[in-house]
Amino acid sequence: MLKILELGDYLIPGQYKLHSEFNRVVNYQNTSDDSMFSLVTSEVGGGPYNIMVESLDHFPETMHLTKEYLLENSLKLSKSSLRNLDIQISKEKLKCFKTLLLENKDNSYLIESDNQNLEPLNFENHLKNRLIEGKKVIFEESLLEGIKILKGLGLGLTPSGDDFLIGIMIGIHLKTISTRQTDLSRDKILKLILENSLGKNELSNWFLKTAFRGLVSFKMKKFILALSQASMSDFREAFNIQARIGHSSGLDQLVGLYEVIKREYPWPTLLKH
Amino acid sequence: MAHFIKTLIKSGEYFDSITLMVVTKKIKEFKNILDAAIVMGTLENRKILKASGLYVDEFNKAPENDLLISIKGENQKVTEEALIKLDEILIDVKKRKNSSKDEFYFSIAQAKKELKDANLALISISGKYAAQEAMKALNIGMNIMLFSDNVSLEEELMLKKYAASKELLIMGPDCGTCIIGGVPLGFANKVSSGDIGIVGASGTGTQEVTTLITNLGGGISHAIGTGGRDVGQAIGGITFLSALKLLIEDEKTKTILLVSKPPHADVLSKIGELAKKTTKKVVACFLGAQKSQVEKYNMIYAQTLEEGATKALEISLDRKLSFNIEEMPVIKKINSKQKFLRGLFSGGTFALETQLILGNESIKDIYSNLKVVTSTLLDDPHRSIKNTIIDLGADEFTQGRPHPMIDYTLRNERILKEAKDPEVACLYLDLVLGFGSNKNPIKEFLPTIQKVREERKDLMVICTVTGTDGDPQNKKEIVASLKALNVVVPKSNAEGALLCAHILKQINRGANE
Repeated sequence: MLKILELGDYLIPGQYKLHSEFNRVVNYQNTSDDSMFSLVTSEVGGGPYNIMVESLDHFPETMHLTKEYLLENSLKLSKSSLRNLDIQISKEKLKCFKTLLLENKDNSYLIESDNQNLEPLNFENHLKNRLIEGKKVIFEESLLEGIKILKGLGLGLTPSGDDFLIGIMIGIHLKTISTRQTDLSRDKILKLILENSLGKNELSNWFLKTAFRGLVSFKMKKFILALSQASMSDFREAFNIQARIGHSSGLDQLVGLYEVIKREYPWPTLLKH
Repeated sequence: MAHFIKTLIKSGEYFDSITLMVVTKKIKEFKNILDAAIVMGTLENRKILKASGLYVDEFNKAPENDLLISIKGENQKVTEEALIKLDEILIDVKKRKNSSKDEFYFSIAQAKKELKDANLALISISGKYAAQEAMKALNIGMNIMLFSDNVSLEEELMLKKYAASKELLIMGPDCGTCIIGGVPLGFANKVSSGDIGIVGASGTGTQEVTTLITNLGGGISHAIGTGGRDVGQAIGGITFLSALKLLIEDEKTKTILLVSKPPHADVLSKIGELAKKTTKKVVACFLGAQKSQVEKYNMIYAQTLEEGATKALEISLDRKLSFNIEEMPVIKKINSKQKFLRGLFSGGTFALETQLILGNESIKDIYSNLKVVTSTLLDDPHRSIKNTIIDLGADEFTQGRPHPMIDYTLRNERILKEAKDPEVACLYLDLVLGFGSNKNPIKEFLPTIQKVREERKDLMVICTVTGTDGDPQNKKEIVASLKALNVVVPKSNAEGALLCAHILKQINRGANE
């Protein structure tokens, strides 16, 4: 019997089958569409499509999420939308954001270091060089070409390239929210990123779609709030919590987010794409 | 160079990137293996495999969601063996669904079964069960850091004798600080790696010297804690001597720094004999000991923790360190009633060192809850008299509540209380950062200082910040916030204590003359 601690606020009712299982996460896929949800432990934390449970010792092969079930448990909801946040980012915070990323440069291939075009050209260095190349292309040459390089690029089930694209989409949403301006070109960019980044990896696709909708995990939301409102030490803590997700997933998302904020700061300027 | 490639495709099996990185790294460490990759078969990943010469035609038929494994080796045999090993590891990972970076075990023995290479157990449980668990850990060959206090002297002696018979080390009981091979345990800081090894019978003393060394550009090989009672007559320095031997034998350690209250004469003599035999330089900071007691064993004497850290670092760097000598400020008494110092410490060693320095500087009327030759013992540690130095980590303050390095509540209350006393001229405080300590001094400590400032503009406030820039609390921001509140932040406890003595002398000059 699963003891539920918290429900995501965007869970979709339906019949689900087991997709993949990890130590702290078990992913389920809807049998009738591409939607997914995850059973997670408290270490992973809440998210729009997460069900936080006390333990993952026993989890079922299939799960049926009914509207009634979700309503009955609606008291413990994660709040994962970025809407209604009041975001103001100070220069000091942005500077600190950069410093923290550089301090973590050994933990993400996407954080640039001095020794680019790494030798020898073994698999790992090829992968690092390609990720950095994709990041440059996306901002300096062509958004589409950059996405082509980055989509699905990386080791595990949530590749670094996809996580970076997720971070970019979150950054674009943040700007929309902060400036309180609806901007058709930004919607177009989001759509362009999503349409061109989807691959055959159902789970990563689902995360990309989640970011496209402006929904984030609780840890990412906490980081964004800390970026805007908290003290420097709380901000550092929120950064470290987000950065510790997966091997590099959380950090790769932060790199994407930073790259957008950096280019769009101060907010009143519009995206140039 | 000729090479062989062996590949494998796994369908419907998902691994997180941590697992794939770790397994790949393990395989690449095999002799004669040139390169290896384990990736999801996305188009982009295939391009990287091709560019690295790890792609084979067999991968063409694998869907994007399959896991592609490729190993390049110098000959067929090693490449095949590596592939078999890799597959075994991945199967094992799948089997151990519940194992992860933060693993939970129900006993030390169970953990040892899973983590076969582990050789150190950290025990932090109620004192009455600690000895029993420590004994179990010793029986399966583990060294121990015994964080627990309230372990009896008899139990400590029994455990240490048993550990020594098995050539194992027991750091503790009541051992607050260790850094073993760069891994901080208990209350410890993020320090740089280096060639200075430390044996410390004092937790905050060890934190002070390790952070000072790091902040001055040096590094630590190991900092081995012993527990404060180890250097007494009853225990006879069993752990201290074993730790010293280990550092003497350790190749990474070039210089040794000893930190403790003065050991019992018998223990000191054994330490001295060991120090005499080694070619490594040994700096001894035995707070309160005489120079001659140390130098007769060819050890280098350090009067303060700062001096100990500096001397060890100078030996390590093989050069003299130069410091900007700041002139002591001229102090003007604003309020004519102001006469006294109140030192409120979370680190017991800082309270001790401060009293010794004040005594050396001929400051009179020092009262404390610590028994020190330079001060009078307070009957009621909750009530200050004249110049009072309080160790808020002492038993009378910590029973039933967390240590003051973790929970500032009690000290914050005491700070406000002392600030209300018009006779107080100077508050001397410590703030110890690092792992295990309170994570948010800015929120939980700074508001108290702010309040003091609002109420008493005439009060001198001095506060040391023990830690490094790598610590989780953001030292730079804390120091800047303190300075913004007109708080003096000395670089070490010794420097702060000397400043206190200077202030007391200046403001009481008329009275003394």
